[in-house]
Amino acid sequence: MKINNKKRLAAVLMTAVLAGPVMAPSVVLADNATGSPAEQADITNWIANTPQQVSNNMAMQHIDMNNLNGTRYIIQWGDTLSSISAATGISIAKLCYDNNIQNANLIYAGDVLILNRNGDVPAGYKPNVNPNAVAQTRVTINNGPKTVNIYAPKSVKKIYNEQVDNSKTDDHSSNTFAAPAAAKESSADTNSDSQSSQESSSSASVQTKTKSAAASHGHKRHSALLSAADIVSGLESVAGDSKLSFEEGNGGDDADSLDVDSAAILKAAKKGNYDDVLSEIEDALNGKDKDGTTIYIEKDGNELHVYASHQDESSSKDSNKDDSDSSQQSDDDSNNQATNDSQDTDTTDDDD
Amino acid sequence: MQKKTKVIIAVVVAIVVVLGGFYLYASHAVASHVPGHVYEYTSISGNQKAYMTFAKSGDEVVVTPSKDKALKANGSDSAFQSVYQGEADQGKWNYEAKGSRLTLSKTQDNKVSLWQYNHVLAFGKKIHSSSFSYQIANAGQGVDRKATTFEQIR
Repeated sequence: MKINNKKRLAAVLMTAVLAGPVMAPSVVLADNATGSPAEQADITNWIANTPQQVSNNMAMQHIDMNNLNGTRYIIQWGDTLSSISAATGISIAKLCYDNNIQNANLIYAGDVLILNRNGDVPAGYKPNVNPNAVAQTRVTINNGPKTVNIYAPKSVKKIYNEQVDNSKTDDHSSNTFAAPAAAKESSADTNSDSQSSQESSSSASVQTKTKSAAASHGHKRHSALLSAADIVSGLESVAGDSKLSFEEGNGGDDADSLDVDSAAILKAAKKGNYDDVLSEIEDALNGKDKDGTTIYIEKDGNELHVYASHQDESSSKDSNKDDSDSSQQSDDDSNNQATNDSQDTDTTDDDD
Repeated sequence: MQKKTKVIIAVVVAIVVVLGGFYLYASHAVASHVPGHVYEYTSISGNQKAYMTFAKSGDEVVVTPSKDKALKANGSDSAFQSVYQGEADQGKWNYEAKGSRLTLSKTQDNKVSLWQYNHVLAFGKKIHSSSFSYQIANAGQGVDRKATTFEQIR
């Protein structure tokens, strides 16, 4: 028996040693897209990558450059549409079209970009993008200090001072040094729940309220502005034996709207009191059978809508929905950046 | 006071003066060190490198991941301008080296991002900084107490 155990241990160790180098690149790449605030802020992340570097990144992701047919590439720090285009031979317009990038300058580190050499771009399609803008971040990097004492070089002082002055005088541009996704939410908190930017970046689930005075350290940021996905996730974490399941959306025609106190739920969710949120929802169910009931969470601006759907009533609907969900999964991944990009344009305009 | 004690005190004072003088020099030498030289910067994670060619005069700097480009920019004033303007669509880089700080700025789409390396010590071919502050447009701002090193390669 002891010998068997030793053999097993040896086999596990050997597997780890042999598989380690194979696994390492993916881990490194994932870290590259997130990392500590210091690593994210590092100047090398904000210098445009050369096409050769992009090719190397793609090789690290085991991407076959000769067969780019809907291939998924995780955008790395320093990537630009221009360098990705040069590395793959796919035109910038095609990249934008396939990934629904319009009217924005930004791609995001950690997002998935669909690489597809096949197909054409419709005539007249002209994305309004700056292909040389480096990949941005969805999460504000260490937005802790209210003021950072930096002495700008003389030749950029004028632009810099205007930028800082605007931050002080214009509410919308107070997020000059905040991630566009967070800035957009803090200025308008508009609907973007289904886009769930957090799907594409492991760190993006921590949306940061970008009033820089609010937080004392980047790691201590609170998710003051929640998406429906955050609330679903929070509810799932406390659901336990409640027999309820949770999803984003409105549940379709078969789901009934629940009479809940939207403001109270949002307030509790922001504080992380998901037990209270769950309690509020359970109260709203009015003693209905919880078994097989799915709660749908939909966020519309500052309003939260909660729907309930029982499995018996909507089983046929659900099965159809599952099918469509799975087929749309990849689309969502690729489109989420684009849908966020459209918000970012607004933010950029505001900042300007 | 014994002669031996006096000697010890004198030696200690001499060491303090030498070290203090060296520190004073190194902490104010960055402005004279960087113009006209190419530096290799290693990222905090250690897996990325950037090359910086500082103009011989003025505050322009070529910042690129390509060592060849950085070295080419250091060839002559006209080569510098050629590379600098060629890279301008990816953002214009400027710098200010003053006292014990080195600030690099990137301007793109009329927005400025800044990285300031604090408590800089410049000696020989190395520039060492014990922390850096940053304000990155559409990304974040803060101070990180991570040491960074620039090494002169030409």
